Amino acid sequence: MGFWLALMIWAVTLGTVVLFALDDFSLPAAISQAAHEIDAQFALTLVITGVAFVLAEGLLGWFILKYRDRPGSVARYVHGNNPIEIASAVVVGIVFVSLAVLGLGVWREIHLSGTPAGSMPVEITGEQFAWNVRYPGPDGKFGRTSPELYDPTANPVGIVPDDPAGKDDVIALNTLAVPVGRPIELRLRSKDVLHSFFMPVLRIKQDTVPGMEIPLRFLAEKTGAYEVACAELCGLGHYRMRGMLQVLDPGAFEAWLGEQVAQAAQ
Amino acid sequence: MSVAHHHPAVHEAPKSFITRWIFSKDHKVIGIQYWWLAFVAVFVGMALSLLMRLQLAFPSHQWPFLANIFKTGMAGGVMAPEFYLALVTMHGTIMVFFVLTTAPQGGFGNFALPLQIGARDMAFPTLNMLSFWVTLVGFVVLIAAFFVEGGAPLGGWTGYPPLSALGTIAGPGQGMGMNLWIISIAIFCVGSLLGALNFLATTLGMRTHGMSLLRMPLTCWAWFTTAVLALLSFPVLFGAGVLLLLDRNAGTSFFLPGGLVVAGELIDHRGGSPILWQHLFWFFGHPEVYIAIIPGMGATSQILATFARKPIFGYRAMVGAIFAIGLLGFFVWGHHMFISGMSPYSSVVFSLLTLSIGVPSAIKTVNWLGTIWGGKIRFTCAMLFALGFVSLFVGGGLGGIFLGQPSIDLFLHDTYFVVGHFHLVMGVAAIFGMFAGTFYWFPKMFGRMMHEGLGKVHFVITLLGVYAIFMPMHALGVMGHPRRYYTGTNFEYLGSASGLHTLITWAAFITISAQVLFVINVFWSMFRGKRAAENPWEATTLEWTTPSPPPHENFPEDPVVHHGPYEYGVPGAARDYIMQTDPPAAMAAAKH
Amino acid sequence: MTATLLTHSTGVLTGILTTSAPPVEAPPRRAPIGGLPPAPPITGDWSRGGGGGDGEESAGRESARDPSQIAITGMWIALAPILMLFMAFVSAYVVRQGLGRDWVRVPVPGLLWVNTLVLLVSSLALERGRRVDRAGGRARPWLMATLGLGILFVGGQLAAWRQLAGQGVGLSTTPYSSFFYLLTGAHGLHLAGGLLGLTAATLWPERGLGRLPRSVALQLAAIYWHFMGLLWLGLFLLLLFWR
Repeated sequence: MGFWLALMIWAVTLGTVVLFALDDFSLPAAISQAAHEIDAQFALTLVITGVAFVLAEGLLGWFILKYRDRPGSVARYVHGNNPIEIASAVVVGIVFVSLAVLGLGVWREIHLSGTPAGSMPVEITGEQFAWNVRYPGPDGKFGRTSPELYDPTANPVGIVPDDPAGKDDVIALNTLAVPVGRPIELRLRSKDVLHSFFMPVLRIKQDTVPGMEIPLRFLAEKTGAYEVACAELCGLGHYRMRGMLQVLDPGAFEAWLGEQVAQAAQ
Repeated sequence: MSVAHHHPAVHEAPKSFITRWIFSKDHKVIGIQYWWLAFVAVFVGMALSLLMRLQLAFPSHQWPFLANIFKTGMAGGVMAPEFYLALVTMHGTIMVFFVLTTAPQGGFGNFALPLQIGARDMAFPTLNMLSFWVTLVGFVVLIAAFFVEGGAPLGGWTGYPPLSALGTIAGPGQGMGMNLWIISIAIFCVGSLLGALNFLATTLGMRTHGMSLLRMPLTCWAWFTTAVLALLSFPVLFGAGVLLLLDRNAGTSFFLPGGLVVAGELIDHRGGSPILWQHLFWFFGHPEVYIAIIPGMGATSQILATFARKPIFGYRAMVGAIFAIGLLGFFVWGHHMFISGMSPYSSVVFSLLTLSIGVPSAIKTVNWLGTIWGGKIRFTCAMLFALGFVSLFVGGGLGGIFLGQPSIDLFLHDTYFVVGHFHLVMGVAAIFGMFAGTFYWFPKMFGRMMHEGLGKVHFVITLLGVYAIFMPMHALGVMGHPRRYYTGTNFEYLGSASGLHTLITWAAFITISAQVLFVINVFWSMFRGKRAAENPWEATTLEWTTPSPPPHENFPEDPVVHHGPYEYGVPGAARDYIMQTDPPAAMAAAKH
Repeated sequence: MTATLLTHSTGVLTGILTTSAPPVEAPPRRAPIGGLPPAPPITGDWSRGGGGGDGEESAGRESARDPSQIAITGMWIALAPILMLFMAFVSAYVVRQGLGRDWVRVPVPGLLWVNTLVLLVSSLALERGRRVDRAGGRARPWLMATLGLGILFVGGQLAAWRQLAGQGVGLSTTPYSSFFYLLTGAHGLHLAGGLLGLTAATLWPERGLGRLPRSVALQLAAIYWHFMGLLWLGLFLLLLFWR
């Protein structure tokens, strides 16, 4: 049995390594510098944990094979080995903590560094089961909102009509369009329950919490249309809260904004 | 000397059927009752997961025969999204609470702890009986949620508000079903706390002569640490549940902010914080996952030493590691909340602490490897599952290294990577710990040996099966597939997920079917298994000095302990093991 | 009386925390046959299996398996989850208060000051009763006084609730009021449990019951009761000053 057990353990180890290495299951294409950094950190972690995994499972299988009960074999009466204990603790400690510290760089960039100059703010308000997107318009300011004023078609984010800042706000549904190469600051809100705005190609997500406005910053470097998914259980329609991130050339972006205004006027 | 009046918790041997087998105060019976509860619960949980897997592999497929069983949830034979979410919620709740937090501690712990420390029973036998029955009532209340109006809740086992606090306006099942969910968990908390109290008082106060703390088997240390974790974390869950119940039914706003518009209606609540729930829940939730795994670690240590015929490698380091894991486990809850909107600065602290737990975990793994190194390994089924535990703990645990880094968690949070990770550690490693414990202690519990051949077949299929089910989930996560999705087919970028979903579902079907072998083994062995001797495994700890099964009072006289718990393979000794109660001369003679 | 309680409890704690109490009947330490202890076949002390080692025998901790000791240990342990529950509520309180947003304080009913005094006096009465009982006198009047004061406290809390409700302040009126009712209610419920325990201890037979002498029953009730008093003090101060 020992022989077969060792084989099984090595087989599942091999299978797992192959699984993670296969291209088919790799990450979606990354379209920002931060996403590339996250991917690099992911790859580093994969290598380190992969080594640990193969080492541990390899030894496990090897010991199972080598030390199975055979006539004449004798178990060694050993209670432990301090140097090995200490060495393992130190090595693992250093490796894991270093890994954690290395990974903090991109976290700091995204969440601890404030808003970069030239950022365009866009407000996202999640609801059961759609994403409302709001641009501040030429004045660069968002109008005040009030929940009493919500109307699904006429006023989906409840903009207060008397506020001049809100008159030029542009509303879109389920589509977040951004100009390529421009830093964006999303301001995430929610109307009803928790949601989470997840953009796989940017590698980032952020829960939207009712009662809070939470920033999420990114800079998309490649044009294209990319899907946005909800990543926090929000009810029975959680699986179909699909949005689109449209990364456009600046001219196309202005045109798109103009279209939204025109459509709203109708 | 007459022992009876020296010993607390000695109660008269029960006479009637009711007091012997139903409302029993005997820790051995109570332990077996907990074990049966987990046995039933795990099959209910697995059935629910099979239904989930059916939907994921064959989205919106029509299953006519299921329409007859689930008239609302599968009307027309097609699963409704809310039914899927109800399955997710109930599967998680049943498995985490009524399987992983019952059998490892309440089941094996109750059965074996007093025996292993040489006591007649737990410190408070009546309280012990109460803790089981309270837990059972909790289970019944939870299952009732399926049958009330609106059905079972759909908030996930984590029940985040506002979704969980809003009532039926937020979705089906969020009415009475959700209330029952909360109440069931609150009842469970009480039962668990009563149990934890017993474990602590017993370990501290009821050890027999010569059984110092550092001579206790590692199982006892594991149960002790688990009890401390439970004692300090369950009350917080209970408190959170009370607050949620008040928000739902009494108009308070602990978790509900103002200005919510749900289904077109403006909700009259004010200024509460949904993140507060997450803090309270995960302050409990993280120790909870250690509560689920630490007993399995103890059992693994015990079983590896027994069947490698060697002392455990690094006993004191193992004790220290269990404490370190338990202690650190109280300070890492924020790693479930990197994306929640809590302060990104606190994420830095939580991340560093989280990855530090890798150190004691690595120590334990090194020591398990060290235990079998140089051994003379006997591959009994108990040993197979203990070795499987080590493999799965490593495979699943390493996934935590990814998730504990907030930058990577930005991508992987709430994806299938998380699902794969926690299933491997909790849903499989911990279960392997339970299988191992069952094969190991079955002779002592029921007086008969389990069938080794059948057990081996079950083991092989299960080990290969669980890797096939849960490793691919990491791939789904890396693809960016969110969890708790009724189906991924609405998204183009998840196009290649369907192949993996199908693979996982087939693997799940096969693996779950193989569990029937275990059921057969249990029932057949209980009645027709070979009668067990006192010490069929040639093990050293105190439970193996009693008949199989032990009499009501466990020991006719208090045992006297002269040796540590894992004196296997002492060179020059008469046998390749020295039992804890063997005379001191046995060791001295060997050392020549 | 509190000093006695403290010293005794500290003694209990020390008793619990030390791992080897002096043995009652210690068998003689045996030197291993052959003279010098054998060199352990490992490289260091702290990874040696089993702290006891070979040849050392600590005899049984007879006193630690005494039912009274176990019960007292159990009671102290039981205070931990209760404390954790209230710490969960208190941290929710602190967080919520810190969020600002319509916290709206409500004046604490003056009755609460009276109730607090009543509870503190009840602890004094209980300790007096225990001291009398230990000296062999009739403790019952003191114990009945404790019970009476305890019932008075619960009644007083309910009266304070009625007062507030009469002013239009209910459970969901403001966040502060939610916590007010929550904290006082949870405490009151736990105290009511303590009343049951106290009643049992008061009615405890002189000769003991279930291997627990009357003095121990009283001690158990007292540990719980005084804890409830201290807890109330903490909650009251929170409601008064952390606003």
